[in-house]
Amino acid sequence: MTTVLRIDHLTELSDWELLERSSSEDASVFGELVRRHYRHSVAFCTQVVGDHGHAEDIVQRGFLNIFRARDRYHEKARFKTLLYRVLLNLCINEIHRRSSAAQLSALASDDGDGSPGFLEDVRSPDPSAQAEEAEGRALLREALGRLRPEHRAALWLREHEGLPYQDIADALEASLAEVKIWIHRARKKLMEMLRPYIERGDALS
Amino acid sequence: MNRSDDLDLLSDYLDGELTPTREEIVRLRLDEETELSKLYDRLRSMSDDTRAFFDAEERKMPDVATNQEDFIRTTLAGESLTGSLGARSGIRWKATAAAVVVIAVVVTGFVIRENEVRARRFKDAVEAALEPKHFVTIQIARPSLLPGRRPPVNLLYGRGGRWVIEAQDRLFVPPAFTPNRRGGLIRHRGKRIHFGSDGSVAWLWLEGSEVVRVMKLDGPVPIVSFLRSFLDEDPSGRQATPLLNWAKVQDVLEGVRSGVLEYRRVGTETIDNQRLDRYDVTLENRATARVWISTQDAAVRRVKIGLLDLRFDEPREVPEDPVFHWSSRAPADVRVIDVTRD
Repeated sequence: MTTVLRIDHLTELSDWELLERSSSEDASVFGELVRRHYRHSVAFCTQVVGDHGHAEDIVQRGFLNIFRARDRYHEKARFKTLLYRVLLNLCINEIHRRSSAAQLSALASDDGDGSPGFLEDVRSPDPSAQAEEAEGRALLREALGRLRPEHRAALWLREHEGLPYQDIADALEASLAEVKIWIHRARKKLMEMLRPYIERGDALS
Repeated sequence: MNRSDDLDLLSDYLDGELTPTREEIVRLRLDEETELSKLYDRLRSMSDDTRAFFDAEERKMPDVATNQEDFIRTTLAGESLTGSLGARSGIRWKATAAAVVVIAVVVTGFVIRENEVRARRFKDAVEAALEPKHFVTIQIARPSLLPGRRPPVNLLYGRGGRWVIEAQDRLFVPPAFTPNRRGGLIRHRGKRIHFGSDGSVAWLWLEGSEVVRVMKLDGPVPIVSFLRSFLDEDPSGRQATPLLNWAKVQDVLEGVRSGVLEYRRVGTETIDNQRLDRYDVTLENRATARVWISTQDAAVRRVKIGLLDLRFDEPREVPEDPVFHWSSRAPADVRVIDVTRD
């Protein structure tokens, strides 16, 4: 009975209040914060790094980092903004780590001749999963996978979270102009890659 | 206005990011221009599809309730483990360092009696092996040019001449890195990135891209950073080679480093509706450059060095080059202790 009351009480607290009251001794407070944000965090990281397994690891590290540094964070904006910022940094580090490892051998031969950038997505779609998807949806997934991670992140925050550009800029530690450019470029690239579908008016998802 | 510009405009319109006046203009154009209207329909349709796709992706994600306890326990356990490991590592490092220092002192004392020159070399070697030594400190700031918004980036070197870049307590080891007479040279994916700094001014230059990053860290002029293409305004319209530009930049930097370069405020000008302070930069009493700095945000808007005229219209996107990118995005919460790792 006490536990139920406790949980009810926690659900009434804001994200920042939960973070403030989190401690190593009482897992339930921090647990409530994780519960609120886990699903969209994993979905976000999966979009950015392109791999669900790594995404879960990143989310765990992200929450751990926030937990460890909780005394340093103060309510300035939405908690989600902080969370996305931490997660994106971890995602980019992960992509960088994988990219460095994979590309060390190709270091000398790559001279930046218009090939995908350093932060190019390294996702490798599961063929069986792809086969189950409608063609348009698979194309959209592939097209999104070819965007730069920051562009994907900005698009996610805009399309999925519905954040205004300024909030996206805060979340991604970028300027407003950068966010605009990222979203413009992301949409342009998607339009180019998906032109036949879009012009036929086919639904992509 | 071309299709690309239209698409940008429509994108902002779709997201409700235009001013009311511009929004009204777009609305009128959509009523009158069939092609534009079609383009908007496609954009909106793609946006809807993307949103539906993202929503579906999130629905596919596991609910934390199924493994929440494990997750929290692991997270909190990770906190305890990291704390104890960090403490142990710190103690171990200090003990090792102390032991090495004691040995170094004893051995050095012995060697001094035998051979003073050899001893000094040995002591230097021991010190170099103990911990990375700060060589320079540079400030990486993206074009917002706001002082203090970006954490410092330190260039360190450790055992065996290994170079490490430290940003917000995170250490990065460039894949290939060799110092040269200009300061340093990072080879990254076939690209050559020069850098240099003396603690008061620093620069990074990606060969072939004609993008140079120059940072002034202190001094009478609040230049924090600028990052732009270096283009000559030469009458033939020909773009100067990066090396030529680099030499010109080097001249000024030499002056800064040697301490004889001076900035003198000579007035205020309004350019493109911006109020700018103009400074004349002199090297040994010879005018070498003019610098225009926005009074509003202390950002450098224009630098003129001979034929080299750099104009900075804020804001501008971060360059494609990844080294700058990730070093300016280093996470605040990660500490890596071992700097000799690969």
